[in-house]
Amino acid sequence: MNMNEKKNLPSDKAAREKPKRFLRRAMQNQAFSMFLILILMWIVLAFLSPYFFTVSNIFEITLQTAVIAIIAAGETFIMLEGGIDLSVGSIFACSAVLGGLVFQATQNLFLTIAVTLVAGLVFGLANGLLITGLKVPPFIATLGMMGIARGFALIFSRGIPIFGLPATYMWIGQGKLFNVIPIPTLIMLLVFILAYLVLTYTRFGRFVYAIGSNNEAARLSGIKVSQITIGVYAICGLLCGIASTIEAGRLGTVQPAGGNGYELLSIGAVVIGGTSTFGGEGSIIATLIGAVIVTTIRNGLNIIGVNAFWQQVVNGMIIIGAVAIDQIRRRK
Amino acid sequence: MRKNRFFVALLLLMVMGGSAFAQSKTIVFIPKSTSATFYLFLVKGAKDRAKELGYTIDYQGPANEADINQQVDLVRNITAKKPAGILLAALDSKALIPAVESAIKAGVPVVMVDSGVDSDAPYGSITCDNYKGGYDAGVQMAKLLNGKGLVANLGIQAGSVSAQRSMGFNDAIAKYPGMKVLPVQWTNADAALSMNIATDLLTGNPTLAGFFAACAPTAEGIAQAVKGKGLDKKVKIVTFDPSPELLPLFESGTINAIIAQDPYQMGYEGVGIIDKVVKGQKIDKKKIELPPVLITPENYHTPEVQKLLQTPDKF
Repeated sequence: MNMNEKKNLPSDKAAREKPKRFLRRAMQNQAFSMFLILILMWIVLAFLSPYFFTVSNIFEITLQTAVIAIIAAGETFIMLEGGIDLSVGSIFACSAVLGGLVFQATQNLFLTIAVTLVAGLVFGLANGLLITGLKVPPFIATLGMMGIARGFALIFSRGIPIFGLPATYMWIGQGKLFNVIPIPTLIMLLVFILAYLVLTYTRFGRFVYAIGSNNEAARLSGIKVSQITIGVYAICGLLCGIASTIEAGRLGTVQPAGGNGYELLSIGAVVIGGTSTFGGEGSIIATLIGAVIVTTIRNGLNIIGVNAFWQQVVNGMIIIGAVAIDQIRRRK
Repeated sequence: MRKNRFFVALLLLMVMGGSAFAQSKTIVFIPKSTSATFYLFLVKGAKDRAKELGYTIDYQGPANEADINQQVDLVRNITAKKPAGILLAALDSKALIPAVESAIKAGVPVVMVDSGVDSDAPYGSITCDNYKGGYDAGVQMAKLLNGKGLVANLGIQAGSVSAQRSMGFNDAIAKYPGMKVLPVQWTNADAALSMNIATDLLTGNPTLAGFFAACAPTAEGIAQAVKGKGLDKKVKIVTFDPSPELLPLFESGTINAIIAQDPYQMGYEGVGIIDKVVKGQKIDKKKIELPPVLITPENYHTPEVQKLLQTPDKF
């Protein structure tokens, strides 16, 4: 509802364009301005350390971003729809543990990955059903699921990391295409391209935005709100499964305590990317850039050797600064 | 309405049913967190001794090591249930004092394991010197690097008892004029975060020659980072805790030395002290400090070291 109002303000030239094309353009602009902020950060860091702006380190940043970015992609669907998912870190851990146990029992790689993804999907579906069926608010339902999935991750694994994953599995996390481009980076790009296409060109995607803008209006105009809601939580669960497959491949172990705090990191990436916390407004590409910004800060500060305590202060200031610049741009 | 009342009644029943331990033959072990493998070995030691002496062990703890308040509440809630005793690994040596003292006043014997509190109230404490373990790791690192080079120190959490490990390491390195250590980075014992930090430090400091890891997940992350940079076996790694997932990395030479504590012994002795308190017997030694053991390829196959390895078959 406020989506069109707000976005029609910026410039007369844009307002003359057709609303639909204009909406897409504005979304691209938001991603574009975040991208400029990212480039600015890279330039500053390149001056501060000769080791920062190298091909291998830029790819390293995308590699380190992949896990959080893929979870944040799922979180973007949910937040656009007006919900929130606090259970992503726990779903991430539990689906990896279930996959890891299947690996220990069968040594079958295909089955391991399939179980991890299906487990993530099932947890996501459960979230969706709790929210639509039992009418539990998303914050509460996923807060509960956060505890349940974490508990099961520890119960199933008996609290011990699962190790001994074979080299072929680790290729998913550590492999490189042409010896340069990390496999997780490719998976991440694929996820974001698909997510972009779904959100922009499918009915499902448009319904997600519509429900986030005005749930009641969407329902009255005949959109099956429950189905879409279950859909976005299922997508997020599945993406948690994909992310945990990558992380297990990177580490060579499955950590039942892993993914702790990923809900905050992924929600952070979504919000830094400019998606409204009230739903209906935002861009999936901006989420990707938001996630890369978060990783860049940590990677850059580590490389230039900033003390850990100061890192937290600088981290907070850069995030507020980046979003403030974006807000100023929007007001113009 | 009627349905609601039924549920309330059911809930009350459940609360009352859970409010007292039958016969007080239960000893509760409260670890720093339920997500660390380390405490499972402590529980095993406690359970073995409990079996000998006719107790059962209940295992309850905070979800992660940042949750000091939750641990304080847990001690108070469990005290109210009057168990035979409490084994406690304190998350904070000061914050837990009032809860421990009031438990003892209420007649519940408390014995500290792994990490103690700054109070004489507990009936006993069986701990490991975290600082000395870190110091030994530093000395070993200097030995591995012939007393010169730049090293990194990846700790668990600033301000916690486990931060002593990182301080010990830094103090040891400071004794060698040819060595330098980067500012400590805190990892919250998260393997993925440790891997990212270690990779970044290697990128920013091409001369980096060694890593200290304060716990097993951190070492796991460092090992993968070092491998990813093609520096396997060139960059030295010294870590705490011989966890099952670290042993293959140690056997292949990626990890060069491990500092081991003896959690099994802590649990085993801890239950013994509680039993003595319950039976009104004299306690010979109130404070037992188990020395950390340095595991290297040279002593790896000795029976004393094999006993300390945390392999899954020991549960």
